[in-house]
Amino acid sequence: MSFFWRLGSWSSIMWLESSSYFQQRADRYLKWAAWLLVPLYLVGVAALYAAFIHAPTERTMGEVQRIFYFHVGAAWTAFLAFFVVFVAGIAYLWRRNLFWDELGAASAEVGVVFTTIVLTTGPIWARPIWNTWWPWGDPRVTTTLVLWLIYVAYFALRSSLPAGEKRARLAAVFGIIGFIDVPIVFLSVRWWRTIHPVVITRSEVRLEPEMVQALLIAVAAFTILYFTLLLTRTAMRLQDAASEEIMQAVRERSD
Amino acid sequence: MNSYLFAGYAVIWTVLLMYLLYLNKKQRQLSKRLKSLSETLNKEHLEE
Repeated sequence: MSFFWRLGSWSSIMWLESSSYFQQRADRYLKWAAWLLVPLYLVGVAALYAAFIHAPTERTMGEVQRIFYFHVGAAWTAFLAFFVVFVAGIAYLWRRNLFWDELGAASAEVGVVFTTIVLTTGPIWARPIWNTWWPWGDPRVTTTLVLWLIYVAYFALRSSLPAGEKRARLAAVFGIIGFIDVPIVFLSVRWWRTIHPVVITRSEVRLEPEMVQALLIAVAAFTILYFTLLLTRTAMRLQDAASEEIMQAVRERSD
Repeated sequence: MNSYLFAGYAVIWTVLLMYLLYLNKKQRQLSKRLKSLSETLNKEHLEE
């Protein structure tokens, strides 16, 4: 936890009126993130227990099916992260407050991390089951790769522009349009022919009850992990923005 | 344990660890910047 408190302790030197809003929020978020470590640990241990011991071994796929719990947990969290980018983009365009820009960027970053987990665990499961690492013709796999590329491009866009209103505006628009791919990924298995397993449909859940429990606990663990990382990264970005602003003010005063 | 299952979970922990190391690097950069800012402000305060 000292990592979080160390970040927060710098607040004493933040004194500019305009930066104090960011700094106060950053301090608050770091405290919340530190408190989330307790449920994260407990639910994380429960998720590992449920995935490896509580859930039975799948009859046809065998042990490798246990990748599914964390793979789906990461996918769900990536969708949630990109939804937050979408909402933050709308909020920024509406309020023109840079806080929303920093929140959206932090969420996109965490979303890319979770999508990377999805795109690496998927092929590891696919190799023994489909006898291929990467089925290019599968719509869910392809649309998920496109999703990852969209948000990598989001960061390419951000890093190509100087910090400020223009970058925030373009990133907000990009984040809103980029989110269109999320429902496409989700519905791809219903719209097109696919070999991707569909275990949860509108009418039934094709899983044993213990498997459903393991999946729900894994989703809960990943969701808590997402909020912990989001709060930490948002706080760091806000502190970075606040310090940059103070630095600028000091430079102007000494000129 | 199935080697693919091991590889799958190893990848998850590796990606998360790499991200935490990235955050740690960012945090160290931020601390450095705040330290230099603090020194500048202290110097200015003493000069006044």
